[in-house]
Amino acid sequence: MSERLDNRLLAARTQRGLTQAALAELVGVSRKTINTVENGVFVPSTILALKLARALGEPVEALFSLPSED
Amino acid sequence: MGVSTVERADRNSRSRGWCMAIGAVVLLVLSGFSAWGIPHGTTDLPRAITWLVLTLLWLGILATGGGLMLGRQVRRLMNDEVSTQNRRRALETGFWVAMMAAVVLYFASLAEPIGVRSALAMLTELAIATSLLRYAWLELR
Repeated sequence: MSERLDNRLLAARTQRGLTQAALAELVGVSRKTINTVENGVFVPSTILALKLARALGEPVEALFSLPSED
Repeated sequence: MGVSTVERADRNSRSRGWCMAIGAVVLLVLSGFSAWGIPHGTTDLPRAITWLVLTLLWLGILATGGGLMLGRQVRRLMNDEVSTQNRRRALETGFWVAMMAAVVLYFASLAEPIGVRSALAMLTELAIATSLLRYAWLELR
């Protein structure tokens, strides 16, 4: 997928003192998925984005945003 | 403290990636034998059965992600969104390689006759091997 999606998953995760593995456990995905989402390699589905937001106690739009157009 | 499900899934995913990379190399070598090793018109049943079993095995792994004996929870993590997307991309690569190989074989057969079995074995092995290689690369990078 060539579409980009900015995210502040790394910041939100470290703010809560969670490791990638711990967040993966909470959400029910592999650690690789958390890693690739954080690095912008993988654009998550709506369901996964909502699960991540719920696990981190933040609204989904605070975690993910479209890149600015300029 | 025991190993968590996520860690087990991570470890098994990496092993799967390496198995696929090795399997791809073996298949590419076999593909070379298929190109030159099957004399036209010969019947070698044990070889045909071995080929069929191996082909179905790799296709099954590509279709499902494998790891059927690892338990539902680990398998679910090993085949989550990222892995499913990787597998889809790998199968797409295999499809295009099969199409390109078919075109090459079509024209090559004009210059030199190629047995149907050799051609089909080459196509299948090349397509599966490139799918496995792509999947391994996407999973292990």
